[in-house]
Amino acid sequence: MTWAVELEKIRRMLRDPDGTIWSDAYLRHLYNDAQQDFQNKTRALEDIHAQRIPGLYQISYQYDWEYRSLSTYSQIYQCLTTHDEYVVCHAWEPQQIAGIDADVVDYGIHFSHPWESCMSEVPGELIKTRFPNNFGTLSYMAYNNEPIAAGSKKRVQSADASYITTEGQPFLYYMYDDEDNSFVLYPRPSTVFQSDISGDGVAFFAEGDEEDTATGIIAVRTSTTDSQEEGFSVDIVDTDYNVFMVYSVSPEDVEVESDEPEFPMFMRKYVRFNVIARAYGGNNDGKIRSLSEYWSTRYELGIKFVKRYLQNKRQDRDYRLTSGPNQRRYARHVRLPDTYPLV
Amino acid sequence: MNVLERKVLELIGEDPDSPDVFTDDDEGMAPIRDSINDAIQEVIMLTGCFKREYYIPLREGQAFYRLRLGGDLGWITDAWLVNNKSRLSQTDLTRLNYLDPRWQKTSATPASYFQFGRDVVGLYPKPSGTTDILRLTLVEIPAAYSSDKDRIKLRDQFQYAVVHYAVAEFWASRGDSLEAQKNMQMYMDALGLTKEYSASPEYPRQLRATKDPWPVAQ
Repeated sequence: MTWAVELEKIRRMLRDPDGTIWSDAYLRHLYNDAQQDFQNKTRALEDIHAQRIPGLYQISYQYDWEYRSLSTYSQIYQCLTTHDEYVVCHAWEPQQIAGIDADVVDYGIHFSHPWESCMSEVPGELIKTRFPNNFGTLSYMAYNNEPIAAGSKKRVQSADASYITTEGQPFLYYMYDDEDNSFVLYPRPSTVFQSDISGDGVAFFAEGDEEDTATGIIAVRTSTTDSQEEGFSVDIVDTDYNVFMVYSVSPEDVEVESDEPEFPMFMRKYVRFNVIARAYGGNNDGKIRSLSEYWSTRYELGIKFVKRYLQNKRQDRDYRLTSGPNQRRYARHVRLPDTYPLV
Repeated sequence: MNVLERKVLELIGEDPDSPDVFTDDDEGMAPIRDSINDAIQEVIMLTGCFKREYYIPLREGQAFYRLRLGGDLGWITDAWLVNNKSRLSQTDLTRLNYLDPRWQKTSATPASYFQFGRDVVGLYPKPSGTTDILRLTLVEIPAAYSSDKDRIKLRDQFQYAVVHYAVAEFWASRGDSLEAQKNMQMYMDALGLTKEYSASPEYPRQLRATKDPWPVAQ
């Protein structure tokens, strides 16, 4: 059910079908804000994601001004390095621009798309990978089914002077840029670029994959669907030679009428309640305090209901009395003897 | 117009046999139908009163399965390995990381399951073969019904609660917040949400601890 249907339901409750008081844009802004509020209060949305390495982008660009012309793409990569009024590939190029004769030795090749870095050459720069567009916070990450820990660039640089070119099984990741929503694996995966998911290699395309540009870069595998005709199908989430992550979702804004809100159908009404409460509470001709309070109460009730639902999801748990490995460990601190000072 | 829609029309002062505003077609009935669908989904979300069973053929080395249901996955109430005749216990990421940090590598007969997000179920250990099949019983939150001949997936006991919910929304859409509040309270009472203790002794609610060790890979 799209944003257009949600809007129609909101307008029905506001008794403003033609947008005489509340414009579409006004209600859309309220809706997007209400989505974030609902997620912050309930943490109801979480997802898993199998991210191929290297990530695939639709298009890359160099200068910041080029970005303005790329609004039709969702997966955009800013390549190479800006320097003065130029974009440079290698580290020795700024020396030439500055009129210095010396040439610094670069680490390896530079690329305009991350997948080029895996074409049997040593990359001369970090290979960034983007989280999904709806990424909120990370709960767990693994590469090729091995868990990897969070780290920092500082820690990696301090421990390994060749951190850009070192390759192997990644055991650590660090955030590259929050705005770009990207991270870097360390060391970079020592795999051979291949064009199929099966076998040893970096995943590129596999039979039956569909690119999903709305949520991220990884594909949805449709060829492995079971019994789709009977109303229940199973997709397999492939974790081999991919980054597997569990994360809480930050709901993406709805922009156009055909956008699909991220909350499941049975939770969307609570977002609508908040929108209606805010609309009735806004400082305009439609302000009706009693209705704003009513819908606000319904929204608060909805938050409690969803929290109860999240508890219901744990109702099959077995609670066990354990000993041994679950013993609590206390941090040891230096302290004075119990007998000090003498009284 | 189904039986629930008729009851709603009666309570808001419409003649179900000759409705004035809410005519007996998809367009005329849409506001009432949307409210009833919302109510049904909320009741099932809270009570889990609609369950279904599904089979998942296991694949070797495959730990994660994304379920595509007709409605939405509520939660899993039990998981059973058909060939092995064993129940899978529920676990979560925190426990897996604590007990077996390389849990994604471990391969054997599955001993536990976990649910991620909206529709993903994971198995630990991941299946070492394709010979078994998993039978899942789960609470399914149904998709909205769209025709008066569609099945209403709701326990009979809760039908009046759903009607009060729709009546409350009707009054709220007419600007009468007091009447809406009154009907919403009736909805809550009919649902039994305001009671301190469960009114359904057929569902034991207490937690019970066991001294069995956590299941581990064999």
